[in-house]
Amino acid sequence: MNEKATKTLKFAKTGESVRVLKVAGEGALRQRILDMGLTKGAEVTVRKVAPLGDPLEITVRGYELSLRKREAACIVVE
Amino acid sequence: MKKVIALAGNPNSGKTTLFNELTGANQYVGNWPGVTVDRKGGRLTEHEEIELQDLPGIYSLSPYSPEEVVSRRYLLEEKPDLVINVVDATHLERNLYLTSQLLETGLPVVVALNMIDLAEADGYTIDAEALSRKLGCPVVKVSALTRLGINSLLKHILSDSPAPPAPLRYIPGVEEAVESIRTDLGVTRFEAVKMLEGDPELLSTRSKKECHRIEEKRLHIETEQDDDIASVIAGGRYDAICAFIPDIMPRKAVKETFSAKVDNVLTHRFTGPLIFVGIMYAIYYISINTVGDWGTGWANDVLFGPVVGGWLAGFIGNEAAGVEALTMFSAILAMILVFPAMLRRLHDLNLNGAWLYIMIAPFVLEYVCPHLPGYLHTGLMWLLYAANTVLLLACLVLPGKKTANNYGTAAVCFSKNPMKMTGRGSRADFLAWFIILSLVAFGVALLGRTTLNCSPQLQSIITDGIVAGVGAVLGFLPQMAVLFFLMALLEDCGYMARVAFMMDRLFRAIGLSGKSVIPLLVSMGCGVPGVMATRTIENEKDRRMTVMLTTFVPCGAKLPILALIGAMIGQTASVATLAYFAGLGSVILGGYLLRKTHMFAGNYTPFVMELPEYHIPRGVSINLRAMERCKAFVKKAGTVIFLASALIWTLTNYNWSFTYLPEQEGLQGEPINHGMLADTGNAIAPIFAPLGWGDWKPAVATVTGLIAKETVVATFGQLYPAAEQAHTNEAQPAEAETAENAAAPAEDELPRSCDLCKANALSALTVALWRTDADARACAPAEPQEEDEEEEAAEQVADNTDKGLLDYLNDAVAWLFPAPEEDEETVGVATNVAAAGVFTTLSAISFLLFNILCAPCFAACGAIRREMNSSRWTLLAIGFMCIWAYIVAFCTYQIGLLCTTGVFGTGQLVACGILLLILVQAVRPNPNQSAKD
Repeated sequence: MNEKATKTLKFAKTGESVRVLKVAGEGALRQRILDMGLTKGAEVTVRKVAPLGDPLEITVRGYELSLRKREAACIVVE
Repeated sequence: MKKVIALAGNPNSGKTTLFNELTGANQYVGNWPGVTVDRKGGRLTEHEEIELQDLPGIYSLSPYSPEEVVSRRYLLEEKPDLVINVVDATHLERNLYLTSQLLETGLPVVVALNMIDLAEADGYTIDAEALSRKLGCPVVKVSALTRLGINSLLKHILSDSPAPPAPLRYIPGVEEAVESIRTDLGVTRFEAVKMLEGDPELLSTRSKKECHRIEEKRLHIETEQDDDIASVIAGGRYDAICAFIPDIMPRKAVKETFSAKVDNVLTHRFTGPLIFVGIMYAIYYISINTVGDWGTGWANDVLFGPVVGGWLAGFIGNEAAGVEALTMFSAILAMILVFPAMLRRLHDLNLNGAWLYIMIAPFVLEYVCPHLPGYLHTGLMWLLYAANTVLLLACLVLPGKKTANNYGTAAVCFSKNPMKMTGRGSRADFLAWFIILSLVAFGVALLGRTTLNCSPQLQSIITDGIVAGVGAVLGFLPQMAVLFFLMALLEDCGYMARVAFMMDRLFRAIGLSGKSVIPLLVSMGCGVPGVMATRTIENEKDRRMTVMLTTFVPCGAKLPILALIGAMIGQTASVATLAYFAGLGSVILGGYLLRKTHMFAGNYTPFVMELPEYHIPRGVSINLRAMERCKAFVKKAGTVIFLASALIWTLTNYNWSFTYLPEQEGLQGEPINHGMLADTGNAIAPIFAPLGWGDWKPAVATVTGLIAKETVVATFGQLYPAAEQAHTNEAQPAEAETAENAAAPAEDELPRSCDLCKANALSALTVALWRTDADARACAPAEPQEEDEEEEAAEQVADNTDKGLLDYLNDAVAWLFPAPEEDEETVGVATNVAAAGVFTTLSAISFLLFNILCAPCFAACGAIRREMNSSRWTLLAIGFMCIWAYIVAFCTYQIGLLCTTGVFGTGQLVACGILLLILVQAVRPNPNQSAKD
């Protein structure tokens, strides 16, 4: 897969709604992201960015989840 | 019939509330083996043969977090007779993900659709029948908070042989693979799915050939789906859930909720941090300065003074206590004893917040009323009395919740521990315990008239040793209770998760996560709750590191030490600033260095956290959380402090031949000078010599500081009596009132420590501090050393820019943190200590730094032991703190000496070496980290 052309959740704008295509990464972190509902096809809305610019707040499957940009970079979206 | 039932569900699904409703007061708390996860169990109120096991809150059964590991192991190995899956009806989709895994285990499952009242208020209508058909297991609508549906849940618990569940289906390819593994190997569906996912624990029990076959199936699915197996399985579960959600929940609210609006302000880029600072300051102000301070003042001046003291003197002494003191003693004891029964009864009446009123009302009467004008005073007083009467009448008369059917019969009621705070209490329960416990309190109070006249030794160990020691710590309880209550309030309404969210970026820089903010903040009040607050940090490494760092923050009990040293060198505000910066600096630098050691290094730890919706806090859960923490605090004070106080008392009052010193005749000075403690102090004093205070007295004070940090001041008071001043320090001018003078004693008095430094109290290190004070500056020219004047002048030029900054910092710190109070007693002690000439400004600062950073008091050590759940880690943590404190004090002192005297000796060399090592450790790359990070 062409890595440059794919968009990750990290670069989604505040207020934007996107659909998850794939979750990269490995092991516990990846399993955790999947368990929290960020699976293929899930719709994600970026709610806001924390005051210091890092963790993101997203809405997924009807609840609010916070994750760092580093984790968001593992999530490939449409 | 005996039965074991497990309670499983997501965090924030109301699992604990349901558990409390079902078990009432029949609970016990333990630990899961090997991990620091609370294990809560209990028995049903009316069916004692049924045991309920509360599993930790989890999102999934993938065994990654310790909570998931213990839950999974419990379900698979101990096979409970029934699993109650608590599902938050307002977040159905994510909650049913865990349900889908529970169904696969093959255990009988009942789904408790919790918070159904909230979901319906939000406009969701959930068809429980349809959901039950889809999941193949019974679904019960409940609301743990209002006890809705609890009885129908109980029916399911009591009925035999619940229907076997029908697990959700995956997409065809996966389904075939799972079924073939299940039938081939004869395992449960859950195990089959896990093997397909490549779970190493389960695969290790299988032969190579079988593993290979499973591997083949996995590869086949992965190529077919163009995705890996973990994603296919997790996605499959969510897809299966999403497929039927529209059928059971037709309408979905889309409007922006109240929660979202609140959140927009509370975590806003600009207002968010401001509100956070405001809230924290308010909490600090309420719990430490006002309400908590009244309580602590009352406990120290009234309760442990005339009331308990008078009663004890009457009981074991020979002076019968006065009626007034006994009446008060009896009333207070009765209030404490009846309190749990009151709490149970209030819970039953849904008046959960009322206990706070009961606690605060007496203090309002005592501390606020006298400042009000006459008519308001009388009015408020009558209002409070009327409210008390109404509350008491309500407890005795109102029937309570009719649906609450867990009172039990009279026999059951009396077989229970009256001091349990969970569960609900009936009128009869309350009335009975009210009468019985009041009589008990009255009886105990009457002992105050017995005048047993025990031996003075016994009297002394009880009053001076144990009551004084335990009282000093229990005196903090009112502050703690208010702090715990407010913290629980913020946790319950969902704000704490937002704090972690906002602060994460800041704390990641030093290797911690946003969740470490709370323990550090709480530690400013007291380290014990601070350490206990680390429990919310999921990641074990982060939690251990936070425990090791959090007591560096100067807590309330360290303020008297600040005041003492401040009075000694005449700079209270600057000393406070220094202490806070040393504490925070140690947290930051210590965290940064620890993260790079092999213990804590490792791969990046994720920070994926649910931000629960804001809601109005619920009285019960706040009460219980706050009470549990208070109880843990009291338990610690009651056991650890009890033993430690008795030990220190013995060491102080006996010499090695076990002669009771206060009765020995012909001793010079206080008995403490001759006890075992003095000898111990002498033995360990050389250790502290490189820090500049190698005398036995400060060493002893440091040791007694382990009971409670403020004891350091009291010990100094005993060790440096005012009389001593005259004969040890005759060269001192008579008006040696202030510490400045002490810093400049005659040279010939100081045979062993650095004369130059001592004479030059305005040493380079503290030059900037001194210059802020006009009086100090006026004193400065009195210093006789010429060579240093040049140096000072040079420093003055160099430090000119810092002057304004330091002033500013002092002001900021004085505003943010309560400045240590300089009461007359502390100043008196400071004068005496200073007059004894043991300390220079530099060594006083080194003493302060060591005492602030070294091992915390015994209560906090106990808390550390509890949270670490391992002796090795506890020792490691305390050892780390002591060594760190030693290094900081050592480097400060030795480098300070270098700056003031210009002498470069072994001490300075070692200090420079240590600083270099710290630098190397800080700069070197993180070990154990995979190349990708």
